[in-house]
Amino acid sequence: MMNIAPAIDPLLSYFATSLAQGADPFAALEQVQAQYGVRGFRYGYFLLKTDVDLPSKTKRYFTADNMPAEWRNTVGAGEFVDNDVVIDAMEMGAESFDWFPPGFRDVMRAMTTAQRRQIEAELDMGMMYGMSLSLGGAAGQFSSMGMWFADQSSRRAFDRDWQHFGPSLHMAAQVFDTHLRKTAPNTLIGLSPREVDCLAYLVCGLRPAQISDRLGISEKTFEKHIGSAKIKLRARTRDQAVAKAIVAGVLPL
Amino acid sequence: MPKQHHSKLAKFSEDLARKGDPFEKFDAFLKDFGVKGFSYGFAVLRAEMAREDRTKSVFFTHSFSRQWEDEVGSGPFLDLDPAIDQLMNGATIYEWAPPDLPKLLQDLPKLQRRQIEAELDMGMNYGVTLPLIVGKSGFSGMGLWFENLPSAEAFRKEWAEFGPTLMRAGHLLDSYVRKDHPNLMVGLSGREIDCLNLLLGGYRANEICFKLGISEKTLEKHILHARTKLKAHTRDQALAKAVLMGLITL
Repeated sequence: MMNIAPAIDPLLSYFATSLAQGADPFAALEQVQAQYGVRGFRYGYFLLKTDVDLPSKTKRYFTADNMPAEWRNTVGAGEFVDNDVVIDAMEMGAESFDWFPPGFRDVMRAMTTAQRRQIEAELDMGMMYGMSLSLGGAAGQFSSMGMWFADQSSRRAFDRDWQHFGPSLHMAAQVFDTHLRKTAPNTLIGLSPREVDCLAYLVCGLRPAQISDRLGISEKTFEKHIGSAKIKLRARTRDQAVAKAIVAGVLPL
Repeated sequence: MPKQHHSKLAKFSEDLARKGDPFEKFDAFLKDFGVKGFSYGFAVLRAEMAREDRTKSVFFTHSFSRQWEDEVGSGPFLDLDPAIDQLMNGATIYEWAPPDLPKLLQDLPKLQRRQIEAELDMGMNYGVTLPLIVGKSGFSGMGLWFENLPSAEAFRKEWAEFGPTLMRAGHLLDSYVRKDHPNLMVGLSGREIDCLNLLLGGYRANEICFKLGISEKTLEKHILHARTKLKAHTRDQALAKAVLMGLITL
């Protein structure tokens, strides 16, 4: 744990204040990270532990990034979470993960082809210096924040920067995570008010016909709302959509 | 809080950690403070407390008399209890028989008044109903019935002395039941929990049957039983309540 951050970091308090005042969280994060030399981030989380065990877990992952289009169109367009050794390491309890530490080439030999290819593709894009952090929570339910650092002159320069800025960046990531998952949990899910209504009534124990009646919509429209809520919650079934909405904290209970 | 109260609370807390029925232990603890019987209950969703048929949604237990069970407890007693309405509106205590009870009774609807009169006939004059948790995570509360006391004033004096200690004990019981042993008052079977877990995992009925090696009919039976035990109206609500109570592993 890195709890040796400077007592009061003005950048961090500015960041926390802007989030509380309703600033775009992604733009605010980008701004504060840039001050510490971060070039791009990739943030994400699973809502349920069981999502991790399912095939193609990338589909269950809630994620946001400001990586370059080159990354988004290649690695980001594929099953990048399934091939991500960082997520695997965090499942095993790693709290931080250096993207390319000395001697990593040897470690890569033991990886699957897909895992190795993904890392090599990222190295080709210049993503050599970076750090990923696990942001608390149980296995399968932690959030993670990966940060790509602008070109460094050497490994030593990166280590030194990380030593200086790591604690602040860790705190910024925590603040961002708390905001996204506790204060504004619908940000990455994007349920409409009507979809929230339908799910909340299901939790209250009403049947579809009763819900349609209350909301003054047809059962077909109700089904449409549930269908789109399922997709947004990355759920396989209606039952799971309801459960995930509860876990995410997006329902007024 | 007097010193001997502290040691009694500590003993109760240690008792709870041992095997055995927590409600019996709670009852024994209360006896030391002149409490003749208690009731304890909780709802998983706040919305359930506002509804007309809240009695059906609340997990409830008590150590009142058999007579109370037959005459009051078997009916929609929580719907008729003015204490619940007051606690849901933010009251921190509801006294069963305040000095101006006769006037209060006059203002109550007939069924509510009858229930209170029946309880008074059973000697349940002095007691309190208290909220333990009123919040997002639902509601829990308890009622405490005190041994016969001469007057409302005598009761208030007693309450001033014992109240804080009894509240603390109530919170200990509540967290034992709701946090540490969420299945205690629900009683789901291992198979029922398996089914709910797989529903949470996003598996469809046929996939669950295959995984558990059961027929669709058996699955339906498990789900129905789980629904009944969870006091849920629908399957969606059963799963929602199981998630909220921490009965299944997220």
